Amino acid sequence: MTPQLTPALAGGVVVADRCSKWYGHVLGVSDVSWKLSGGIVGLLGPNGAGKSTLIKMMAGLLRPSRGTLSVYGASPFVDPAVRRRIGYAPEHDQTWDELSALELVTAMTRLAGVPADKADRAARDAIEQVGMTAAMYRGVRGFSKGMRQRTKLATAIAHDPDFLLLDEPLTGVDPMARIDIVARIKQLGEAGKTVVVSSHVLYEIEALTSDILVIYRGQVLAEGNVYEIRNLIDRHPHRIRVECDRPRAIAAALSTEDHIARISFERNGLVIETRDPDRCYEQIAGAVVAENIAVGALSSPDNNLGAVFEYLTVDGGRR
Amino acid sequence: MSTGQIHDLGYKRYVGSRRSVGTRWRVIMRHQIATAWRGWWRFKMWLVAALITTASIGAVLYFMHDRVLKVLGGVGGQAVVKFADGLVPFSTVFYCKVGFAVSLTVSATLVASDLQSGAFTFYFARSARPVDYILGKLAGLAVLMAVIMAVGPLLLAGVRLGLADDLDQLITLLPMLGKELAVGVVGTLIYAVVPLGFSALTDNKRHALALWAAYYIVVGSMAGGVAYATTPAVAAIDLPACLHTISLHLYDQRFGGARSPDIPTAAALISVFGHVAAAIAVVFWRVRRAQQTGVGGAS
Repeated sequence: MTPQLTPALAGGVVVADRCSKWYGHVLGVSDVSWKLSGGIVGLLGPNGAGKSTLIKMMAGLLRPSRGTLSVYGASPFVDPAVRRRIGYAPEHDQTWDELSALELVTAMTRLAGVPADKADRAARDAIEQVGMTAAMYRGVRGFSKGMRQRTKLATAIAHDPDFLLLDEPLTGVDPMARIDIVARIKQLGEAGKTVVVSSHVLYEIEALTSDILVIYRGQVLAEGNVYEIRNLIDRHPHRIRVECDRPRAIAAALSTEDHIARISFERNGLVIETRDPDRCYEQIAGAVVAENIAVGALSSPDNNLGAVFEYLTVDGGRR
Repeated sequence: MSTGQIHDLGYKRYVGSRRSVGTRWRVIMRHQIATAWRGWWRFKMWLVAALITTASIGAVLYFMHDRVLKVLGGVGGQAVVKFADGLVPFSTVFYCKVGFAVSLTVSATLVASDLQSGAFTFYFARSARPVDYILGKLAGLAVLMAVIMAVGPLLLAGVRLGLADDLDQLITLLPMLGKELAVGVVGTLIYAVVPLGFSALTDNKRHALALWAAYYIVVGSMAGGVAYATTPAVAAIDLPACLHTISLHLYDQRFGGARSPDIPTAAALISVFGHVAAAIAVVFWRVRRAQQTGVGGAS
């Protein structure tokens, strides 16, 4: 039966409509309504938030306990044909360790429907994409964490899926490999793939995309661009950090303004929390000029994904 | 975005055809066979053992049918020939031992191993269904086991046919091929399907292996002992004894051994097919459960 979706959710690569998943009495995902139209999206949340559950539902590995979740208009759990369009790299490292990287990727490619005579070529191409050509004849058993992550990425992309689900693809990899994998994921996005990348590490997602879905305790707390999300959090003041030689002068100039929620001093400056950032920036500039203050740096911690995540999951999530 | 643009970015798209979903079981079957073929100890070593068994029994058959021996032996020589013909159905005893060894190295840990390694994630995140997995694994194991349990006995039957004295005897002996094929099919079912069922009873491959070995050796032996004290049908729990019974029944022979009381053929057949049906049911239940619960990774 075709699910009846609300008009706002119709169309899109992924459409989740009031989707919930329980593991017995444990809640995995609760009442998630979400539409993914394309591009690279970061699925963000602390450990146990429900990221992997949501990804597994999108991959067709789990059936929603309630509500519906469709990928390209079909249920991935029920319809194996739609799973052919999905590439999934699981979080865990367990695999057929006795196989070489090439054998593993070839087997996965064939399972995804690529004929035997073409699977080898497709697997080699995918291994080349992830920079593993030199190690493709080696057994997966001896691979480092980074090499396993790359191999998983190759298994996910070899059959040329339209939709990629990468569950914690950067966990445990060294900084150089991280940069490389991030670049390759971005390249996949540029190639027109829809990519969902999960992580509980904020800067990992920030390096990949500004489009995020924040999930906490099984519920979607926010979605969209990190700046849009920041605008949604109107109950939280916007923070501006000013590094300068005379922070008290700036504080004095702003302290009587009604939009100022809090001013705190740091070693080389101050942090201002305001409910009207635009006005605040103007007034800071005015004070700096009027008092002839030397400003070292002006930044907004709220433009960093970490601050948004902190607001949404620690503070906002409790309210 | 066009394919050309994607290629320009360095991403090589796969542009070939894709197989229909219904063919996934074949991929799983081939993977199963290829995995078993890797290394010596899983399958190749036991294949060599089966070949040695076949060659040894074939050599005995050849020498016992030697015309010179028959001429020299007279009436005694005919008895030797009769004994030699009995070797073909009796050979199941040897193939059962090899089949059991292969079941330990290949099939008895299969589902448990996939559960432990999270392999179901790989299967079900792609366009494979539980039925594809079960069909593929069963077909793969059946091919491997048939090489041990059916090909060897068929070769022996072929040797015996080749040793026929004349065309009339050859025609008389032709049904041997069908009989050995039937024995081979039943043997293949026993050693491919039943241990697979045991492998689905637990998610720990060592436990699965121990369960199968204990059932086969200990429970089988105990059943033989209990059968002597109660009714022979109890011995039908012992699977190799069942196969032996079926084989002897086809050749209209009887053989009572320590583990082989005179099991009724019907009981042997019911036991074999009952075990096979139960094993398939257990595998289906386990795989379906694995799919429903999304086993294979942290949630």
